[in-house]
Amino acid sequence: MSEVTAVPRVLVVDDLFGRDVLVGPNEDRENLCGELLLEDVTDDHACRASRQVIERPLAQAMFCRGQLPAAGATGDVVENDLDGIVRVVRQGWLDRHPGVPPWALVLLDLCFYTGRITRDSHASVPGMPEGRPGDDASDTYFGLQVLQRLRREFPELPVAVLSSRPRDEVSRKYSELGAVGFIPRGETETADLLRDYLWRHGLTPDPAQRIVGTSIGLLLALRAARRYAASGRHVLLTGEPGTGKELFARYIHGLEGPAGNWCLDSPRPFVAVDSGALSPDLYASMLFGHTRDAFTGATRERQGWVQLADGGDLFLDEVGNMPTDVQIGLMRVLQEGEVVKLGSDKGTRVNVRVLSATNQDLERRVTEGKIGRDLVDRLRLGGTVALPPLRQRSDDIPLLAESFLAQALTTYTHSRMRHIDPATMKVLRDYDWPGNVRALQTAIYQAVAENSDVEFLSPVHFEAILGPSRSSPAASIGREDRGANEPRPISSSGELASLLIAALFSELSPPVPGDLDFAASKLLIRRHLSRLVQAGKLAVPSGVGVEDFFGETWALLRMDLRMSHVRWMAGRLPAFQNPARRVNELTRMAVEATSIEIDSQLTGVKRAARAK
Amino acid sequence: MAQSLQDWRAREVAVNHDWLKNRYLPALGKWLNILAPERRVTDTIFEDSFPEHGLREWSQKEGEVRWVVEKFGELFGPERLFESGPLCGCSVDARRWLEPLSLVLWARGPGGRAQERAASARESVVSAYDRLIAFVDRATATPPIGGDDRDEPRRKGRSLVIDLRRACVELNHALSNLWTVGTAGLRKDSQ
Repeated sequence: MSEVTAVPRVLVVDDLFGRDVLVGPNEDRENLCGELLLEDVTDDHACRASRQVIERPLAQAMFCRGQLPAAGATGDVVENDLDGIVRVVRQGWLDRHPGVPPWALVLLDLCFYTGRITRDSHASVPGMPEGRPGDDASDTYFGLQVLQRLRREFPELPVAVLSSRPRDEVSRKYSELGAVGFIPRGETETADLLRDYLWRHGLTPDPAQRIVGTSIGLLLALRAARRYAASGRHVLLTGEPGTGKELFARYIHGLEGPAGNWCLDSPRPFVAVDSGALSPDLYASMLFGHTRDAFTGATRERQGWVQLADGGDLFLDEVGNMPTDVQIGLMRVLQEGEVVKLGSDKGTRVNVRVLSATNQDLERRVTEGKIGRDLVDRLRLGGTVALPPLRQRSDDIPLLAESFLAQALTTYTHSRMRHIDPATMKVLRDYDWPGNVRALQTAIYQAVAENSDVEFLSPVHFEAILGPSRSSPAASIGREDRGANEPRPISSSGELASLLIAALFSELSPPVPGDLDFAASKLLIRRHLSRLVQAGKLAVPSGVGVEDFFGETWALLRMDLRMSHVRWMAGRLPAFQNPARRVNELTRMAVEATSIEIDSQLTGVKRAARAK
Repeated sequence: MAQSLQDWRAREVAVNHDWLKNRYLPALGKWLNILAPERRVTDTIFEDSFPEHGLREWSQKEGEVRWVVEKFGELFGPERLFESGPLCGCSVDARRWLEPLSLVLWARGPGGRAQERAASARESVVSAYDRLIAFVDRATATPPIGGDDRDEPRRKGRSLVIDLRRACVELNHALSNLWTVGTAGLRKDSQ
């Protein structure tokens, strides 16, 4: 089973603490780890020489000097290495192995000393250079350049400045460059501050592992849940059926107070209600309660779910289906903090947070008059958490499958210990899971129940359960045979990216070479794009020449960087039996990886084109 | 003058940023985690060597801190205006009353207050350090017998380390503030 650690992983980019030392440990790094309770997992000489043990680490820390050489001796010249930093970041972000969580947070130093390592500088701090003029000028800190580059390459990566330099000098700059904040080193409570940052800004997995997964999409949703939970206000959860909305609601329920103290079993009440499962009359009576004789058969007074959830959380599933009468009563709860039982005209004070969920487009339901605008606004007052569908987090499928298998084995006690063989895992990963996580769970349980005396779950055990795979909407992106003979403009950068990458792989595969030649890739993509335009299948935005558009897009795409992600994904392509599906899946993942950056940058291209 | 300022700045950065903030404070922070009631860090080499060596680096650096604080007045205070500044040409009689007056006024302004704060922070560190060292030396001379009695010295020691660390954090802020205040004063003078 892939090992999941709930301890977050951070990357510390710092010249002093990141430098390697060939003889003995890096004492400065040891002291920092001892102070901030970080477990050093760098796997360099300095880390291996350390005998320090952190008993309950806040995070595992990988250290990166951000300079060459990593371990310097007297006479060496130390230079900053921006590309090297980007490489290390990418390894723990896009190119990581499945099951390994991405960087929860990058802690970035500001001032990096460069120049020659002299006898004096080495004697003072081993491996540190004497510094050059400008190294410590706040206008030109190397750390700010790194921040700018990371923001461009990895827009969702949370980066915090960890510096001993004065915060005020750079506060405007690091804010503009998208850092999540500044952790001043050497303050009395730095470890507490780091714990707080990890909680509020870090991409950290669910510590209880009830929500299983390490994909970036899932971790972003968990972070959103933590942030919104801290407000104590009502939170709306959106997502397709089976994505785990109730699990998320329980996760939010477990978060106590703004410090984000988390507990498995909160003493506060949690009441879950499925709004779609009850008739309107019954719903109102169950939710708000009723007085004696409120209606025929009401032989005694009864408290409703709202009152049962007093002091805690009320989870309303399928809130888009809520009957109009119930909406009015709920509005009173949200607005006045008061619940009125059926048959009564007197309200009772309640303190309830509502966590609601829907798989519908609430805006459309508002337009259709099915749900009130005021109510929707109230329900999402604290924020909206969008849960990703399973097909967008297929990296999590092995972890989820193993987790469900372990649960199934405890449920079906008579069954043998068993494993999911790699071929089966490929089948599970290839499937697009329209029923999401719930469907995967059902499939695993069913496979275990129906095959109680085999040691391995094989693809054959899932054939009857899964049936033919449904193509995901995303998988159709980039298909040439979409049937559109009319020239159509490239409407989005994501579409362009998918076309480029799909083209590259249709030309090169099979097999995909392990090491792509970038110049050749560029030629192939250019040729493919031109062919599409000539065939009338694509039209670039008006007023822009194909070559110009392509040339600038190429530069902006930074395909050289993305290619390693594509290469990594290509390594997993044998999972797909169908070559077309293989390209489509690849395209989808590449689009996911690139679209955010390209969207913002294409705006610039178009603007430049218009200016021409 | 410019050379003197650069020298002062280099020595302030070396002792305040490079040593106090980057080395001494993290080491004290780590020691606190070792001494925590529920031990958070285990490092036997550090535990043996830090109280004897690393901790005592303060006694070597204290003179440097004193120099940085005292020299600040000379470099950023009004004296420099009489040496090479606009007031160097004033008469001896005028200087006799103007110089002490300007010193008194400066001492009451931001520069003087910054220097006072740094001097006071240094004294607090000296005092906290002396108390801690006395405790450490006593504890080394009479090792604890064991049992519950062992926890008490640990608690006491930790509380003294907290005091020292707090004083060092304040010293770090006070020393950093010298440069900020001093250069602001220089800019004002040059306008």
